[in-house]
Amino acid sequence: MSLEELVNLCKKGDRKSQEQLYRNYSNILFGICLKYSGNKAEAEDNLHDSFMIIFDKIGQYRSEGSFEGWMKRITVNTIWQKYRKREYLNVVSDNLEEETEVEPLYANIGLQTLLKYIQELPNKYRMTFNMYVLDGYTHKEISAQLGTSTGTSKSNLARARMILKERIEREQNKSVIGLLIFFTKEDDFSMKKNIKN
Amino acid sequence: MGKKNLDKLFQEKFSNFSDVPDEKVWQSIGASLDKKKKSRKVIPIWWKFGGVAAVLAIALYLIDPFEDTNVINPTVTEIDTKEDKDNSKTEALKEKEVFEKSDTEIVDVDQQNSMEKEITSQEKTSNTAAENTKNNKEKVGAFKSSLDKAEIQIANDDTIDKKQKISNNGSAQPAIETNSMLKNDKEAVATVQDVTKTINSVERKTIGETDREDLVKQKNISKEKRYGIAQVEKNDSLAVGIDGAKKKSIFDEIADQEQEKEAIAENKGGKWSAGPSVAPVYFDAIGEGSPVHSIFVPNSKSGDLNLSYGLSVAYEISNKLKIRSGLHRVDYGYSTNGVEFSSSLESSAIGQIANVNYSATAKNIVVASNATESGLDTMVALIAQDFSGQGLSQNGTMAQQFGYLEVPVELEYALIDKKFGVNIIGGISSLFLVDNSISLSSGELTTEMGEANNVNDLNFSTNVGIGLNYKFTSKVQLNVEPVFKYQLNTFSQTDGTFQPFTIGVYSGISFKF
Repeated sequence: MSLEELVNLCKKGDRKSQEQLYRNYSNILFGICLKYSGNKAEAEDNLHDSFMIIFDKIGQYRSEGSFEGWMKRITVNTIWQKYRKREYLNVVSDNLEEETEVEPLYANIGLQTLLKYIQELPNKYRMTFNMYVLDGYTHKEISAQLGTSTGTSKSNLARARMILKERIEREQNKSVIGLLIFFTKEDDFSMKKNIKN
Repeated sequence: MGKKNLDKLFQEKFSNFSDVPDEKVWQSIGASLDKKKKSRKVIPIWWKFGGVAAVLAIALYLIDPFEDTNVINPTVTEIDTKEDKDNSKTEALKEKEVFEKSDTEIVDVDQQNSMEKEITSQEKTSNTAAENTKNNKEKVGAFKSSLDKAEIQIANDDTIDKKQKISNNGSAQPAIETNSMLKNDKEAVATVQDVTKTINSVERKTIGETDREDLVKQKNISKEKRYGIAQVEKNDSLAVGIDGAKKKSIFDEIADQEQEKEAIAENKGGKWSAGPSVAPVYFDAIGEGSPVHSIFVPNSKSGDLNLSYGLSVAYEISNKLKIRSGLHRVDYGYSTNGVEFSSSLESSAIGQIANVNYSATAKNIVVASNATESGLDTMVALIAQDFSGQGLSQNGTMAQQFGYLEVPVELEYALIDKKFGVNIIGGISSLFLVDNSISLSSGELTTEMGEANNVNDLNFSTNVGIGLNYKFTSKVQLNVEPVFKYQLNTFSQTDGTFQPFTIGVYSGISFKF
């Protein structure tokens, strides 16, 4: 079945086609949800809500752009709409802070760890970082989407980067310290061995 | 690590990032789709009802099944009749020979013979008119039959005979006059038919009504008209005796009747009326309870002022009594004061209020009453261990809003029915829930909480009110109606007593048709 046929059947509310559409795209959209949400449970909630909106609005899709792109935009927008109100409760400072350059370190950090760092960012920072860095939105688009100024968007991005950097560096430092401890212990062990011998 | 390196790191790791969601997500979507389908099925029914009501209202406006459209025309017809009669009367007085034939036929009618006698003198003419205005039913009946006969005879009048007769006279002047007379004669016939139609329709209508006086008046006026026309036809017998003064008196009489008729027609509107109405509606409740949760029972509550608007339709059962209905959109709301709320990072099922279906964005909101001892701090400590302690607990109000489609069925009894009218109104309303929400406000912050699940989809109210109206014309009036509506079953379950009521001042303009 072609995508067009599938979309048309979904427009008619055909349940099997809706399930097929879900099976085809849920992985990609769940990836977006994981990046943009605070945790896995929220991501699942957001995936649910996004698909509900997709099925509700599918009649408005006019086959003009990429269907996947259309669904992705809906997903990001749905997630933002949900966090938007909550943002009022989380007062976030919009002061732009200058970045401090740190020597590049080789970051051999796993995907799940990085995902965790992203998820732990405050909502606005997470939204901005994902949109700008991972999904290629401009600050203008982000500010329009999130209802902020481009200055705020830039500030949010800078703060997000700073937090992520700190987390990564802390992780790196931990690794270095761990390695040092490991090697130190190894040395002790070999020294003790030598003494015994 | 520079920002470029950081961005690159994430971009590399997250390019084509996807993950398999748990199967329960699809199950949940499926369930939601089923639920939506069901709720979608319900909504259109009320839209259909609304649609049917609107179509009915429009149809009744366009095709009025309760009134004969002829009733609207009598005034016009009568004016024509009057003119025609005037002409034919003048002509008749001049050209008495021309009427010989038709007169002879009309004279056959018994009733008209007696009328002729009466009309032979000036006084008697006006007396007859006066007598006719009395409610002499036998005479009306007899007259009607005589008129019918007269009509047939006039219709059968052979104009060719008349023309022959005129040509026999050989004089040019009488011929012209006769021709004009023939025209008038035809007009008179047409008028008689028109009037007869009108009479029939009026009679049909008035018989259906309880308005006895109107019936009599209408009949009398119609009778006068027929009588006037009958007189035109028999003028040969009167001609010699009738002078200018007499004519004047007849015209005056006709003019008086016209005025009377017009006055009656003016008072007489249609039975249906409709129009838009709008009202500020104040919602409040009797009792100290709370429909949301028992913790809010001690909190003070304040009613909101909202708006109701819609279309009202009324049918006049009698002069005094109207039954009315319509379709109105109305919002009700009240606020529970002294509410504390905050957000926890994790969804907390424990702290949620059972009577509220939390919206997806509000699952993390914890609400408590600061009127109770167990304030939010205690609750939050118990519920949300990871609550971000920035003193986020907000003091504010919890606003509950309901939107309904209201279909009232009310009786309206007129106490005073003059230019300025006073009515008493009583009835019931069916309220169909279309909107239901609970939101939290603190200062400028407003956040949606969800919707109450203990609000009945169908609610009834008993309505009592007073209607004041001012009639601009017989068809258009301004209404101002303070109405008290006592809600019977707004909530399926409340903590404590909470009996909502509303007070609205409904104002609008209604059009009779």
